[in-house]
Amino acid sequence: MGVLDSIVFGFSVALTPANLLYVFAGVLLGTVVGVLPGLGPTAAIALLLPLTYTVEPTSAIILLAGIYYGSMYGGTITSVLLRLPGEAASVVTTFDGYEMARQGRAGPALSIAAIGSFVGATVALVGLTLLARPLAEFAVGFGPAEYTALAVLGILLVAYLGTGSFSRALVMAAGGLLLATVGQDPITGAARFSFGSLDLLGGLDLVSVAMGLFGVGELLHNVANRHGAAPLARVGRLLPDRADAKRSIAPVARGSVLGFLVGALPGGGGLMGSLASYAVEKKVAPEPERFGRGAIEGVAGPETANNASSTSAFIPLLTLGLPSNSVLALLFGALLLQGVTPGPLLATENPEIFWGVIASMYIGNVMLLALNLPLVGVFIRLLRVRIGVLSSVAVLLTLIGVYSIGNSTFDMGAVLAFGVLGFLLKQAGFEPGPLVLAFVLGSLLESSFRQALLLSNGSFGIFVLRPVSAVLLGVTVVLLAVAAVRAWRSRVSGRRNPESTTEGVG
Amino acid sequence: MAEPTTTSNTPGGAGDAEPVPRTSGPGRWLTSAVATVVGAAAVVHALRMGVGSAAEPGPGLWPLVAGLLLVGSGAVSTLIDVRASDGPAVGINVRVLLGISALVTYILAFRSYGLLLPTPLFLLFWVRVVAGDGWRVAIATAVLGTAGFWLVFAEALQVPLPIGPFGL
Repeated sequence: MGVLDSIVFGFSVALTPANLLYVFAGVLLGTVVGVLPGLGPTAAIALLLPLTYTVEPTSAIILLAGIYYGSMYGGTITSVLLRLPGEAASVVTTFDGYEMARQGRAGPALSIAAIGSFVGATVALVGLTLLARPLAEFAVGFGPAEYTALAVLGILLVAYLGTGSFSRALVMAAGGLLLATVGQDPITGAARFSFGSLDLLGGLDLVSVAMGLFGVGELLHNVANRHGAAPLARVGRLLPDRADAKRSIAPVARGSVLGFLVGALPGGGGLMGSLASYAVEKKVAPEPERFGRGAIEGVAGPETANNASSTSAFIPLLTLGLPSNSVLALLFGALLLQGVTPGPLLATENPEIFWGVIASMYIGNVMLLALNLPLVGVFIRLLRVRIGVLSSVAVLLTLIGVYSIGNSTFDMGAVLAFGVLGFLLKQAGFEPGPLVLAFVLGSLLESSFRQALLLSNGSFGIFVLRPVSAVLLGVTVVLLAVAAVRAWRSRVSGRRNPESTTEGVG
Repeated sequence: MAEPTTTSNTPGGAGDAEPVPRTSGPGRWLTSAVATVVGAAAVVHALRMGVGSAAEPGPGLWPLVAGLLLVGSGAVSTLIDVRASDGPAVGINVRVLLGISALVTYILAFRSYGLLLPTPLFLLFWVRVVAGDGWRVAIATAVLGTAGFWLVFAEALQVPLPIGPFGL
């Protein structure tokens, strides 16, 4: 099948009435959770994981993916109107978007963000459509050594590009790897860390870990740190005037390409794309001093890049089986739960998932554009939902949801335990993302590591003698070295200037 | 885990996704230190399981790698956090403690009494006491929420929920 046949096949999957409904439900729900402060896409997807047991894999992934990119649109609304990013990637939009809103130009900011998001996502989708198959074919030759190197690099990049401190992210990743070893040894069957419990012998469930850390942990965090009501800016006239439109064209074009490139790297989806675009726009602008004071370029570029990069982040997931952020780690987990292993063989073995999901994203973005522009006013009303109502219903939905999978109250307890752990970690400044990612990749990493060693009769040379794994491990070493040098430098400057903090670099 | 979390949540300066309360208490390095200890325990446990050799890895080899990584990164992180002049607080407040207790009670009650009795009580308690919203909102959430959960899980998804003493 050529690319054209494949994508036509994808549309034939995505355009069935049931799947259209799932796309619509996904993007609508995504927009809603993007708007609701304190309930991001990760929490929403974690809450809905049990549902994936009851529907077909294709429909499940279409729905969950819709929540992910839908939330990118929704997060913009609160960034512009409240200076409160509904999800992490919209932080950049608060710089100029909220300023525009204060000057009575919230409407143009929102509409240019929606249009830019649509363009960026569509450009990235075309890239994804064209590149996915060749990349997957290249990766088919990967053996255990390459997978080991790839997973190591993937986990490291997520820790490296994350928002918090690097050493803390590594602590979380190591914790995730350790949690993944609980249960039976995949090769010898020996019990590990099960402490005599039958429930633990089967291993920890991704659903319990993710729903606890992201779902319950997040909700407890919100209860502890309540957001006060902020003054809501008025939307005003919706469409940008001629000058604004003219100023936005180049940033949208640059944002699409930049976002696509950044997003295709592991760890690059979402926030990295929008940060990079903001930096570029400020650099090329003739009057950079306008930035931070309501420059429409500062909204158009990053919003475009953020959607382009969250779309191209699907490339490593669908072609290499490498989730590049915590949302995609959950999608990876959802596929595993369905007995489908994402990787180079996905396109040939499960073309309906591979092409169906890609096609559904084209449709979902059209729906989002149609939803967002006229319905901004409706979504804003969601901000009036009380945190108590939202958190009480969501927390019970998590507990009863996890019960419904295995009819076991042990699972409810496990979710609560991980929820409390996630809350404490978050309060202490540890982001659970790298932990969940490492947990998801942990068993894959262990089995490829051990298979590689079996293949080489115990020689570690296999990891450096094969070209692809050598390159990947080389990049890993360079990244670690750069992090170490940066940490050392900031300590030296910290000694000279004891007031400054080393946080965020270590 | 001493200081209650401050609740000043006006969005901070540009770039502050979520203002993290800061303090100079031990909370900032305690978590990393605990992680280091957990890592060390895992290393000991892994060695007992049998590491095997590189050619024939035993069940303990991979846990050993993960444990060593945790010890290493935990130790570095502890050092950095001890030196830092400030850091995020490990704060826990009464609301959260009440919330966690309510959740534990709910799970126990759910096991013995099913969905219909504990759910409205939990929703009422959470909205009114834990979140501190008004009675009217709390009662509405309790009634509508319970009905919603019942419809979704018992009627639509046909989940075999535990049955309470009154056959509910």
